[in-house]
Amino acid sequence: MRKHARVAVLGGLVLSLALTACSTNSGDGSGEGTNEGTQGSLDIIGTAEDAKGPAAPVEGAQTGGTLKYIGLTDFTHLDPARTYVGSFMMIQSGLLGRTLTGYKEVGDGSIQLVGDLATDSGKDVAGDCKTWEFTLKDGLKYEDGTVITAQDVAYGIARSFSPELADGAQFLQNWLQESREYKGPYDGAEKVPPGVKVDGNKLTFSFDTARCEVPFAVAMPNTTPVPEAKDTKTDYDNKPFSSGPYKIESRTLGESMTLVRNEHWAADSDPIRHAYPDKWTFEFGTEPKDNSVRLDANASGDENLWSFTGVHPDILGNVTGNMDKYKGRLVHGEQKYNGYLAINNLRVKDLAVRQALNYAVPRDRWIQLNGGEFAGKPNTSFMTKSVPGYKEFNVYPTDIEKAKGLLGGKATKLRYAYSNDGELSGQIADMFKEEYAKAGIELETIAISPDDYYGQIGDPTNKYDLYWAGWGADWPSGSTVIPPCLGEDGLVLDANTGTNYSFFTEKTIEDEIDRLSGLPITEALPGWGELDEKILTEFAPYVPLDSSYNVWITGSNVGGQYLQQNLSTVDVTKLFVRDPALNAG
Amino acid sequence: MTGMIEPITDPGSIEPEVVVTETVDGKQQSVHGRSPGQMAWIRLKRDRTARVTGALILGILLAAYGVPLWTAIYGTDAYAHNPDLLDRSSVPLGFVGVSGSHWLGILQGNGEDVLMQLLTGMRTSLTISIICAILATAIGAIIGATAGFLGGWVDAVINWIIDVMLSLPFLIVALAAFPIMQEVFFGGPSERPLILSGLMVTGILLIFGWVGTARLTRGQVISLREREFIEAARASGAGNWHIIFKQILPNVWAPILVSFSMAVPGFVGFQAYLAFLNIGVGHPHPDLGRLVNFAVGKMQGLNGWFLLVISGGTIFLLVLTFNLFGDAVRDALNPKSNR
Amino acid sequence: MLRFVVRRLLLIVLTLTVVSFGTFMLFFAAPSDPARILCGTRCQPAQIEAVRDGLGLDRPIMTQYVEYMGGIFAGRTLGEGDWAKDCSAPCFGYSYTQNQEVSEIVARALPVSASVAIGAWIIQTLISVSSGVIAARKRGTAVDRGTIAATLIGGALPIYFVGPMLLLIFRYQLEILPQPSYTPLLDDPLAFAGGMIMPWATLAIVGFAFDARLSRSQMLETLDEDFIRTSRAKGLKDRVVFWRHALRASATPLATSAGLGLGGLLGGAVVTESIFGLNGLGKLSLDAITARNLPIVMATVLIAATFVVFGTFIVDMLYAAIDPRVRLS
Repeated sequence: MRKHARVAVLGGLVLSLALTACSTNSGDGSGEGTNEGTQGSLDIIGTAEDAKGPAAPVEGAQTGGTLKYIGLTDFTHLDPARTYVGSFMMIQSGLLGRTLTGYKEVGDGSIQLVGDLATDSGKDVAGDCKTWEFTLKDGLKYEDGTVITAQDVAYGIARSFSPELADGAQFLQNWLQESREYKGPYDGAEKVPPGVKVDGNKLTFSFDTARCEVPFAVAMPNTTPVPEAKDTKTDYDNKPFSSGPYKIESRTLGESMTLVRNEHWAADSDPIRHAYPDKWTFEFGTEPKDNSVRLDANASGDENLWSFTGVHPDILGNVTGNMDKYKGRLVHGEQKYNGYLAINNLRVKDLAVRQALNYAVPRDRWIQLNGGEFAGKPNTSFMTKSVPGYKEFNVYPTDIEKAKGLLGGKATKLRYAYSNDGELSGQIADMFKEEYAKAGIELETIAISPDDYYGQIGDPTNKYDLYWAGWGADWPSGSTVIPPCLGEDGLVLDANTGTNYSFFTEKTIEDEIDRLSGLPITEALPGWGELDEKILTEFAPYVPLDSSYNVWITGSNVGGQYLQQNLSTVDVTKLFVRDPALNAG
Repeated sequence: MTGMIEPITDPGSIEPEVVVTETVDGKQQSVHGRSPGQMAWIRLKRDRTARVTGALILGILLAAYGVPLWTAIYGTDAYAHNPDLLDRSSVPLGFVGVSGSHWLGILQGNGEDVLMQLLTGMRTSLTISIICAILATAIGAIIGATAGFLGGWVDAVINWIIDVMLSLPFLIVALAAFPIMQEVFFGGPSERPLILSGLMVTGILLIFGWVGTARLTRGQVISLREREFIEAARASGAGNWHIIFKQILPNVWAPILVSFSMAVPGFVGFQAYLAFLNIGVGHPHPDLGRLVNFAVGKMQGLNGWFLLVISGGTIFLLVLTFNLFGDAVRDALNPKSNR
Repeated sequence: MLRFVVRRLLLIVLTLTVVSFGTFMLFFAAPSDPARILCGTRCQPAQIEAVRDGLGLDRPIMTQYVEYMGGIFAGRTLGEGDWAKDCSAPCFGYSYTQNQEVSEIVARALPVSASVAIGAWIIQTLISVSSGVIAARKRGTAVDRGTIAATLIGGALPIYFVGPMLLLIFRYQLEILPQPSYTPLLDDPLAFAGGMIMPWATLAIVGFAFDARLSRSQMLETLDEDFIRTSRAKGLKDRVVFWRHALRASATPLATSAGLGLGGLLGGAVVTESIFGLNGLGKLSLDAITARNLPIVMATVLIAATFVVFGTFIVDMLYAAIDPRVRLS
């Protein structure tokens, strides 16, 4: 009889395949209502008056309650010397630590640099950008009530020189000592880094050359004060000592973390931060997609959830198709990050070919494949809109015929390398191959192991011609965009640690970079936009693609969702619990 | 999972009786003088499951290897893009893009035809699996027969190697080794042709694939090696290799054949499993496991279930059909089996 | 007996040594620099150097291997000077990406995988043995045919298809099952079971086929054997014969298969945990492979191999205990 059973199995299967109801896609569901990024204002440096607390209240904000974060990975680096990822920096500088200066945002896209620990945005002592002076505010305290001193700020900077803690930004350190002989305050070395002087509550930075963007550089987390007695070296990552509005109550690495109020933080001294909720809980290990599914469902008990993880591409369409459903718990906007195709200028030396690549770039299909207008905005420059000084231009409007003309019928064969990290990257490679073929450019597409993607494309001896890369400004100035990606600063020809993936360098451009670096901030900012256009027009060293766009949803009991421009993610300093009694646990 | 690595064979059910029927089972011999192979063939032909699944397998092979023909008739291949049939966020228009020219719809992203992806993916999968099954069975049989026949330290070493292989978490090792193998053997800046990628996958599958057959053959050979006809061969001066290849292996062909017939679906399943985990022939070549992975990613999207059911269902049907056929082969070779 | 145990244990040590050495070498065979990969995208040369130092990558490979293995049994000190870090036994090294000792990370993942594997194994064994035995007893009836059909379907269903389908149907469409997650059993048994039900079901659906078929055929074979016929001839009640004699005699191969199945379930954990987003060993190793996090991959491979090797060993011992005919040699 067993034979019967077997044949019956085959028959029954076909029936079981008819499962769920079908719906059709008419293609006009999603679309309207994305936020064009706000152009960053040039008037960006705040005064001593702007540095005074407290921060302007958020409309409708309530005090109290618990906010619950879910995400995939723990904030690996909360040590201010080591934190560099946007969301880690947001937690460190938004909740746990204060820096010499910081960015005041009110949620309308404007951004202002103000004194945070310091009384103002810094004093250029001689007017030559070589000596900068910062004075600490009075009455600043740590989580245990002890006073924050200028010496602690200097010590914090000193430890960020240590190679073991070098995960963070290196701008200030490199400016203070180009040779980097100083390796931090350990093993009996100086506790104050070279070029820094501590005098009471005053800190003085001296540089060999003009460094006009010091006020921005000291807004990076490594100016967060660290008392020497509390320094636990690499373990400091696990429990940094708080100078901000919250402190770590408990933490299980990789699993969970709870923050409670730092009673010694004074709102009056802080022009940037609010501290609306009483408590923050963090839970790690939720896959990005499950994360979005859970936030979308907003189930009972989950109303206080929020996340740094944007809505997962796989369900993005479902969300953006019904924006009304998420009223009050959705924030979306254009981010500071660009996406571009780096052209390997060491290999593709013919300007006409590089220009042809620009004319023939399938920018629309690139955006379509990535998930449409809620995933990216077409960008035709290197800088993105939110950076003050950004200039809008489009020097190579899409034109296949022009690309063909530039190539002059020559057979052009290039290698496109991509990270083998999933189906989408492969699809994109297929797409470029198909589209560039229309202009007569034959692409050979090569998958690179994702763990080593940047190592390989950053290697100047790489054998690829074209590959994707992305960049976001470290602070609101073209100086952290153009030099590291299109200048000598990012060019490390004897190793693969550079960030100039196009390996582009040009004397005239380098001179202009030097000139702009010596100018006062407000004069320099528009100069970077001009330089951006000059580089693409004259040398076409890369192909601009898009600026990233993201959508976040939270539980319905969360309020104050804003996109923080500087870190391009959800602003923790403004979040509050709408009904503090709900899910207070 | 274990069942996939190791061909599903219950050593208990394939006793050497099958092989020695000719000498022991006088009744069968006396009727028409058919060999056990002929007997098995007759039983197989009489088995309805074998007939149905055999026909299905022929159909599957035709579908998979007729891809160039189908492309000509159907009008599109697995690689062609259809961006016009996608909306602004690259989701297929209509119901997953089903239309007169795309019977099972198109893929989100570039709009490749799903039906042709399935057929071409099936071809990749079957080619790799059948080659693997043949090689794994051959290698396993030879190693197993050598170990079983020679005994002593050779047997101890081979047996221990088998134990080591079985103790390794195959998936983790394969996942860790694959990118490294790729870099070492085929690294470098050139497009990787389908053949090379296929070879890589075959290689990974083979590293572990021979173990099951080897263990089975070893057991069979140990029970054979003390028999009179082996002693007779030895007495007449035959060398070890002669005895292994000419005397022993021909006498254990039945369990090896069963092992082979079960290895095919085993490899189909496992190849798809690896492809699901991104160890496969790679973009842009269609691959069933990768298609399921893609479908899982999109399953919550509009009509996302459709591709999941179609792609997962195809693998399921392939494995089921080959499994059933393998069962029938086993039954035909071993009529006393209780399955 | 003792000689057998000692010999087997020695072989186990040899096996694990080879496995660990092989895995170690695998990563050194890779042309790319593990320190650079671990260090991340914007890594300064000095920092790569620091990671390399910390991992001890600048020393000869044999030294590194010996130190690594020594650390597992005796603990060791990682790094030097002000940066030295004590890593107590069992020390599997330090994960730079997670900023934690590998042993802590693994210890956190282990209960998750154990919950998935043991729970699924219990369910799978219960279903397969009972259905197999019942099918054998009701041979030729609709029950028997149904069981066979179910095993055929289950045996051909890919695990990576069953998991997502369960999620799709029961979680996203019908919304009747909770999101899979891990809650410690003792904290909240209900939440524990609720969060595990889909992973268990997935593994059981895929895994029960083999055991059920085995238990059915084993049962039938036993029923044909002489001693059962003798018992029947002696006038023992059919039911008594069946339950007492036949079942007991079939237990041996079933125990073997079940024991090996547990090892298999651990392997299946890789994809099950990934599908359901459970932070167990499987997902840990998958993520570590993607990030080429050498210390974690090493640890998971070693742990999995140890489980399988000792599992087989214990099964063999049990085998001998259950069936007196088996002689250990």
